Amino acid sequence: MKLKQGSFLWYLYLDKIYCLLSVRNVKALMEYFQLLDVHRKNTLNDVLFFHFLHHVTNLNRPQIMIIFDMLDWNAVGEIGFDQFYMLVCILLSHQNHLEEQFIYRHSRPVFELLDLDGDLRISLDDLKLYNFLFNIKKQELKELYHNFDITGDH
Amino acid sequence: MEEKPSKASGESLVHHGSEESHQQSDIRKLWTTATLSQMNLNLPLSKVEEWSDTDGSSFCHQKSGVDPGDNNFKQELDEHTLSKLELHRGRSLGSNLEERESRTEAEKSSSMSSLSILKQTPHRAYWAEQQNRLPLPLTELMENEAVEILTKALQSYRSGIGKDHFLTKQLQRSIEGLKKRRNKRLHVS
Repeated sequence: MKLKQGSFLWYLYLDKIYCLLSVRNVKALMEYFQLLDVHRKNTLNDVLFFHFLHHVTNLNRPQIMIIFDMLDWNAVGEIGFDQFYMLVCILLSHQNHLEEQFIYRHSRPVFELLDLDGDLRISLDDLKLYNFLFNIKKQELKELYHNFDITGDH
Repeated sequence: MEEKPSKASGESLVHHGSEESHQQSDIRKLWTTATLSQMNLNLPLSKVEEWSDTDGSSFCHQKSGVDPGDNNFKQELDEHTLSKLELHRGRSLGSNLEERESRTEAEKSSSMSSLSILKQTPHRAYWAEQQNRLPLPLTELMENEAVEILTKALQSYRSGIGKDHFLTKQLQRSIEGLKKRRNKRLHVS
């Protein structure tokens, strides 16, 4: 996954330690979000979200829709600014090769996002589904599960 | 016979008290103006005191409405008060000429420095606005990108829900609004 060079998101600066945007950057992002929010509902529907992500990244349609479903965890068919902000932070951390740092700093929100069925467990399949977003290698995933799966039920 | 001196001392006390309170308030006011008009706040204390002293004398005369050259003002005060005032004002109650000079100098310096501050530092509201506003190139980039994304979304809307749907119309209106805003800015610059 790559951000389109010269796009608006490309100019945002992600703090390398906290993996967050500055207040000024968040304000700018909010203005950007409001420009895209044409129906004035403080949300983006799937069509707008797809065209936004398709425009600023090289992700394909299935990948974009997987992300949309992940962010729209309560299935309202729209995503708000909170989710949008988190997505932008994930994209920027990927762009800056800070995925590990991002997961370390925001482990709980990341866990909640990846825990699709809400049973407080992330399966190997769930993680494989999103490895394009967090850039987790297959071998690393296997090792991770081997080390932490103490109950042996995967 | 005995009452007179006590009365006189009472008067002097009243005079002294009122004068002192006047001077205290004067000094306090001038202290703030003096610090405001200074560009460099790390000045030595002696220098600041010197400034406030000269300013203090000029302000006192202005407020009392008496010309510095008028001797009636001095005659009204008894010796005790005068000596106290002497202590406070220091050399400022010396010759009238010196006093006038120092007053004009102080006024000049304060007005000059406040003018230079006005020229150098922008107004607070202007500064806040500058801090809160996005840089113009970034705003332009943002709007151009939004127009591109929304135009693509409009095509999807038209093919998906039809061109007469209110959501399609709403989207079209917002694209037109963005384009208008962009053209306006282009014409201004």
